[in-house]
Amino acid sequence: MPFVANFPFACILITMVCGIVSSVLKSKNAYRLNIFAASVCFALSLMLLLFMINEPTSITYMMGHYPAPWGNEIRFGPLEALLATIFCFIMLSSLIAGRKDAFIDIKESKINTFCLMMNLLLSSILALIYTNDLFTAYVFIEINTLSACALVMAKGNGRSISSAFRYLIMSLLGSGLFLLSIILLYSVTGHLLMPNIYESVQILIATNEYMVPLTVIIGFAVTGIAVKSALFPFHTWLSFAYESSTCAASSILSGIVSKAYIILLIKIFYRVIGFENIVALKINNVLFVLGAIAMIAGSISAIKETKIKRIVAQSSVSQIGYIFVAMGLGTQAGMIAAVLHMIVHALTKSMLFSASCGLIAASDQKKKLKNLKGAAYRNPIAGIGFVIGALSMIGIPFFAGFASKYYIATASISSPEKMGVLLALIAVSTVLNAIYYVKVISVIYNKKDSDTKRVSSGNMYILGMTMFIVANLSLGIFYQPIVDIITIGLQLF
Amino acid sequence: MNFITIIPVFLPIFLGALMFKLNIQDRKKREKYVSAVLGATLLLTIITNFIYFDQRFTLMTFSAGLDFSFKADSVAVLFSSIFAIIFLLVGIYSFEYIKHDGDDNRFFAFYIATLGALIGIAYADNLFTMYLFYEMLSILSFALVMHTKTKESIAAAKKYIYYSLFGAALGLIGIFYFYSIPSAKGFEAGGVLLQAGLSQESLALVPVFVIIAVIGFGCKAGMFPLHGWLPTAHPLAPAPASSVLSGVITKAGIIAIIRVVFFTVGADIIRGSIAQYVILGLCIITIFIGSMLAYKENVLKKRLAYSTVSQVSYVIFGLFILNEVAAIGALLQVVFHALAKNTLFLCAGAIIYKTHKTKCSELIGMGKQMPKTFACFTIAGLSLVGIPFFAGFVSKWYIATGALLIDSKPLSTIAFIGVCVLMISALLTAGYLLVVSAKAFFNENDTKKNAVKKVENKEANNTMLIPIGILTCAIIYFGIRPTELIDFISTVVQSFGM
Repeated sequence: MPFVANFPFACILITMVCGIVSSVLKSKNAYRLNIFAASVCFALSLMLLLFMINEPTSITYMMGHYPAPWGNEIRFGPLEALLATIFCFIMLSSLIAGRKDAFIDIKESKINTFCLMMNLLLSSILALIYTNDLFTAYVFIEINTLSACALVMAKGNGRSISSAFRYLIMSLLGSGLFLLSIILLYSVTGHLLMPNIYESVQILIATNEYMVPLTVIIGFAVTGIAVKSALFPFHTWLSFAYESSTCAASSILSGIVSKAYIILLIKIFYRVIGFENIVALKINNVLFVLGAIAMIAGSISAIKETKIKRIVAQSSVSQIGYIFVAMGLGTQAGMIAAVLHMIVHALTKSMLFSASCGLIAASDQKKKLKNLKGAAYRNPIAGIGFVIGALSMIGIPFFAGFASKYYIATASISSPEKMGVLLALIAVSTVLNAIYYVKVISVIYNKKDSDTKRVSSGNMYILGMTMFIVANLSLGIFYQPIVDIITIGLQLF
Repeated sequence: MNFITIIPVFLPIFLGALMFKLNIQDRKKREKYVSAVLGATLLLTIITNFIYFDQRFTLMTFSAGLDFSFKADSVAVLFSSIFAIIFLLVGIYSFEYIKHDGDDNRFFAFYIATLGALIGIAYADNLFTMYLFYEMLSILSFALVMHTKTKESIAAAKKYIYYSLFGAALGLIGIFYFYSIPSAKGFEAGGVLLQAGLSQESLALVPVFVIIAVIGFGCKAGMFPLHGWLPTAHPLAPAPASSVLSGVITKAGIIAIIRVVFFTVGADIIRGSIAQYVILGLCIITIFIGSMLAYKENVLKKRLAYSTVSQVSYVIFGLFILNEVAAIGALLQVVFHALAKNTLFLCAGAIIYKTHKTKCSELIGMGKQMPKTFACFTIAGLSLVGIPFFAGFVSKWYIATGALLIDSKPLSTIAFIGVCVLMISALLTAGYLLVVSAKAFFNENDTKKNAVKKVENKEANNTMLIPIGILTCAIIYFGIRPTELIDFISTVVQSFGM
């Protein structure tokens, strides 16, 4: 086994240890350690990714040298390495960009707790990406939920606490459903490790046994994850949670937390049940319909919003709809498009949140759109970041969003019965996206009777935003290698 | 040396963006800079058109089949020349006009960059590259429409961008579909779909997607049902902007339609299919309602915008007849409409600039105050109506002749209806344009009372009059001697491979 195979586990461990250490550090050092942990994870994941590009393999890593039923396993291939790299990158840039805001929003004495939660969140996300064991997945789902809730209420004002409760209740409902499905699956198959369950499920389906419980199991798992990843109609918690948390937290929540669950769902589809069985049970059609409604409903609610962060948050609902629609096509091409859109959305949305925070910070912390007049002149890099993010979400060529839209649309052509609906949806949702993003852009670039004097946003913010902007632009132009990695990764999944 | 092809595309875009950085405060310097850039772009366009004709240059490859490549083929030559010439003339005009609206640097930055995007659309060698510049054009011209930043103009600009993006999204649906067909990735005369050797069943859906794409790209060209943005956006933009929007930017939609119909799908697949019927029907509707609404409109610039709705659909009508004669007429109409409509909008701008009068009813008797402006207005109007010896007549003649050449039964009826509507529309055009000139020159009240009363001279400045004059001369020249242009356009039409 190559040496890089130790890296995924090392990443999980490093983040956990750093989290624990940061709880006893002073606020500034804790934040530094947090950034350090994220950058180490990014570097390690990148090395793993480079290794995987050279020799695409799928490696199963046994922990403590105990074989399967007793020990715990993680498993990774090119796709996992890619996702971990990108997620660590987003974590890193969000932390850098959100540093100033975090120190303004959060009490000095609570910063180290905030960093602890951030580290736990990253470790749980990495674990969700890498794990090969359903029960481990459940454990990390709970860690993820609790740390995310803590991040939402880190600000400590009434609004963020009520949002955190909303989030907590919905999330626990989701993880409860997921736990039920694991319990049922265990009682049907007698396994918790993904490959073992897969074998049993294939036998069950071949002999046509336990079909009803199996359908219920899949239903529970899909619903549970849909709740957690804010698929329509379970999206109500999202806009509150993203709006009321601090800059770094909302970037990370929108960018990677909801995506980690979708990855878990893809894992369940491929490694636990078998994708052809999902298609045979027509689960994908349910996802397609819900995703289609989300694409439109999310945008319509975004148009009605008056606060910039809520607009961006509601747009997430519609973008998550895109991901589920692509998954719902039930083809390999659709899944590639879904994963690509997931990456695109993770990068773009976290940049949009960081940009909106910068704009808000440049306007005396006022969140309403009408108070943001000329904010892009006061904080130019936030303005540029917002415009790039908006163009990408609308789907203009040269920006990342176009690439994934192209792949979703071309994927749809191989399943003719869904093609018409999907193409029409893309056309309508493009305009709906444009309506609210153009609205915001025309306000933040409105010079008329507004203060256009620069407000310093700090070097860290500029650095973080630059990282986001460079990453987004390069993804928009050089997406082909990413798609290749996804394709190989899904084959090895 | 093929890379020269991309210089006229990217030079204006970069130099336009550079204007934000330079932020030239001195007026003279700014005028020099702008005219130098526009002149250089024109020169480079001509060089590319002559020397690097039909040479492909691929800048980069996004992913398999998605090339970012350029080629100056004959269609590109025609359109890029029109774009560069008219942008130079209108640019000179706007030196004076834009004083009226202020914030000149921003206006010229977007104005110059828009030219780059337009030439990019003309030079694009595949649907993807074209789409890229098409979106860029929408975004850049969005800034032109909202230049004055009043509440109304921002609302109008938003309407414009929503329509444009929706239209582009429909076009994109078509592009996605054509790209899913193997080998349909570059432009080729006569279309690439038939060459791919596909069965009839696999081509069954093609006409449907042609309809979707043409309606989508028709949005920029002001075709019914997505024409709603024109009468809102054109009147509120500054006159130079509305003149290029109406005269030139609408032609970007025409290029896109030509590329889809003749260079991707191929005329043979569309001929006689549902796509031809639907689009011809939509064009006839557009021509009629455009003229009708123009006739009823009182605000001059809005009237001209409605007129554009109707006149640009002549082009699409001519193209969808799908024979060479009508296509020649259509491309002639592209040139002549660009000349006439720019003249009209520039005249309207001069009137607004000098007198702040925007309604047709206020223009009675104005001809004596601004004789040169109104003379040019009248000539452009005559051309738009289609009076012999003025350019517009030639194009309409070819379109009508081409339409009457169709002999298969149900289609010939539609074509005949179309020709009748062209006649009605010509009458209406006379009604809404020539009446304005007539009332401006021959005022009844004047002759009755005091004809001797001294006439105030409100003639437009020379920087405004000269571009108008050049355009008017071109209208008269092509009206009398169109042969060279027709010869050139015939070669362009031959590249359609009908």
